[in-house]
Amino acid sequence: MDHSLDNYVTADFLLSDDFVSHQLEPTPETAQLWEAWLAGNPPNLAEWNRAVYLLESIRQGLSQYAEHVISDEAIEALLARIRETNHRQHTPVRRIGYSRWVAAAVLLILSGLFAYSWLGTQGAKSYYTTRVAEVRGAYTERVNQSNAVETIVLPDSSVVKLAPGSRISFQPSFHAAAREVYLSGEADFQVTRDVRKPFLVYANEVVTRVLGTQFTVRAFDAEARVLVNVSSGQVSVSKDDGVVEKGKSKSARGLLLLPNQQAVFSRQAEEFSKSIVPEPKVIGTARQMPLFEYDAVPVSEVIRDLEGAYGISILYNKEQLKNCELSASLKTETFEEKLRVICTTINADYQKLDGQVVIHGGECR
Amino acid sequence: MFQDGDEEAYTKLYRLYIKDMYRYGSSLVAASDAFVMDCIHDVFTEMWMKRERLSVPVHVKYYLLKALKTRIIHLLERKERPYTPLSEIDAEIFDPDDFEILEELDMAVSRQDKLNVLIAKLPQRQQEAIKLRFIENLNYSQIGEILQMNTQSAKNLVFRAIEKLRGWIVLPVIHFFNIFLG
Repeated sequence: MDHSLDNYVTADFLLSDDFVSHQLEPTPETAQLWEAWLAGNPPNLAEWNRAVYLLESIRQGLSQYAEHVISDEAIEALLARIRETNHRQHTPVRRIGYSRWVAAAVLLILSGLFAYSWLGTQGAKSYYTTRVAEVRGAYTERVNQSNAVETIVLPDSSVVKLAPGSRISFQPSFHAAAREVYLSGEADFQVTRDVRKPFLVYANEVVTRVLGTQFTVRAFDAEARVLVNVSSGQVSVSKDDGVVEKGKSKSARGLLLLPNQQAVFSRQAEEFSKSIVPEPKVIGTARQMPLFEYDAVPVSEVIRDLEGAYGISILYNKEQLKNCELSASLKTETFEEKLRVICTTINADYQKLDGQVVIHGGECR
Repeated sequence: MFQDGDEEAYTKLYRLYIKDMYRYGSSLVAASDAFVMDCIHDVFTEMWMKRERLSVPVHVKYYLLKALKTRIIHLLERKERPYTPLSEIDAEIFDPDDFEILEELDMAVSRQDKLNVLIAKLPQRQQEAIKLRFIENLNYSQIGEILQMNTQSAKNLVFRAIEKLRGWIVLPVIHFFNIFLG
C-alpha cells in the first residue's frame, strides 16, 4: 500500500497503481488493505469517493474503446490461420489417420449429449439449488418458513437475520479458505472480522465479498434483480462466473460498495448499477460527529459535514455557491431532509447520480 | 506450458488475450481490420517459432500488447506508411475550444455518449495511456515501456488527461443542468 497517499486528492488516487488495480480487479487482499487504510484516514473518504466516481466516468467514456469487440468467427478464422502457419513452418503436414477421426467424432457426439443434458437441468433448477449441489461435504441448511425474521449464528459467530421465505446454506464449520454462504431470498449479515478468511455470499449470480462488515443481500429466485446494500465497512460485489455461462468473458467487472451505497444487479442484462441507499445512515467511522447546528455557516462547510458523516460524495460548483450561508439546526433530519433544507435555502436542486449527489443551480448574494 | 510445444496451452493463451489485443491494436491504426489481424497473426506465429527460447513473461498481457504494438509500428514503417499511426497525427489535432465541445455534447444523448465525446477530444497519446491504465489494467511502469517513456512521464500523461476530464466531468454536469433548466 502506498502510504504517500495520506494527503491525496482525487487525481492522485488515479495515479496510484494500487488504487486503480483494486478498482478494476479487486481481490479480498486489496479490499482488506484499502478498508484498513480508509478506516485510518476518514478525511480522505470524500476524495476517495470522487476518485471512484471519476474513474467510473472515464471508463464509461472509454466504452467505445472497451466494446470494440472482435467477432467469434474472426477469432476462429484467425486461430486457424495461425495454426496453419505454425504447421507449415515446422512439422511437415501430418495427415490425421482414420482411427483418430472416429475417436474425434465419438467425442464430439458425447460432448454434444452431455451439453444437452446439462442445459436441460440448468433450465429447471434455481441458482441456489445448483450452487448448493456443488458444495462438497456436509452442509447445514436453514429455511425460514415463519412470518418473522429469524436470527442465525454462523460457526464464525457472524449473525444472519433471515427474512421470511428465505433459505441459507453453509458448511457446519468454516474450514475452507473462505467462509462461503449460499442464499436464496433476503438476509442481513453482521460479519465477524477475519482478514484471513473472506466471507462470501452467493446469491442469484452475484458474489458479495467482505472481510468484516454489515450488509444486506436480497435475491429471491423469482425476482429479476439482486440487491446488495451496505451499512458499514466495504463490500465488493461481482458476477459469479462459476455458474454463469462459462464462455463469457470475466470482464463483467464488479463494484466496490462503501457505506450507504447499494448495488443492483440486473439478472437479465447481467449488469450492476450503483446508487445511494434509500435511507442513508450516519456511518460509524466518521471521526467526529458534526453537530449539524449552523449559524451563518458557509454552505461548503455544511456540505463537508454531510459528506463526512454519511460517507457520500456531494458535487457542486464551489465558485457559484461561495457566498451561500446556512443558519439551521439539522440534528434530527434524515440525509434527504438535510439536503432538501440546504437546497431550498440556496435555491438549488439536487440529483442522485451513480452513488453520489450532484447539487446544481443555486445562487447567493 | 506452451514453451514445451503444448499446443493446447498456446491456444488457451490466444483465446485469453485475443480480444484485448484486437481492441488495443485497432485503436492504434486508423481503420484497417485486416492489417491488425495480420499483426496479431505475426505475434502469435513468431511466439510459436521462438517458443523454446522464450522465458515466461511475468505479465503475459503486457508482453502481448507490447509485442503487438512493436509489430504494428514495424510494419507501418516498412510499408511506406499506407496507414498513419494515430499517435503521429497528434500534432495536427488542434485543441478544440470549449464551445465546439459543448455543441457536440449537446448532440450526444446519454451520459455515456457525452463522456465518449469528451475522451475522443483528448490527444491520442493521452487516450492511449488512459486506455492502457483504466481498461487494460496495465501499471504505469508497463505503460511507460509501451509508450517509450519513463514511469513518471506516463503518469504525467494520464494526469493531464484526468485534469482535463475532471474539469469537464464534474463541473459541466452542473452546467448542463443549468442549460436544460434554462
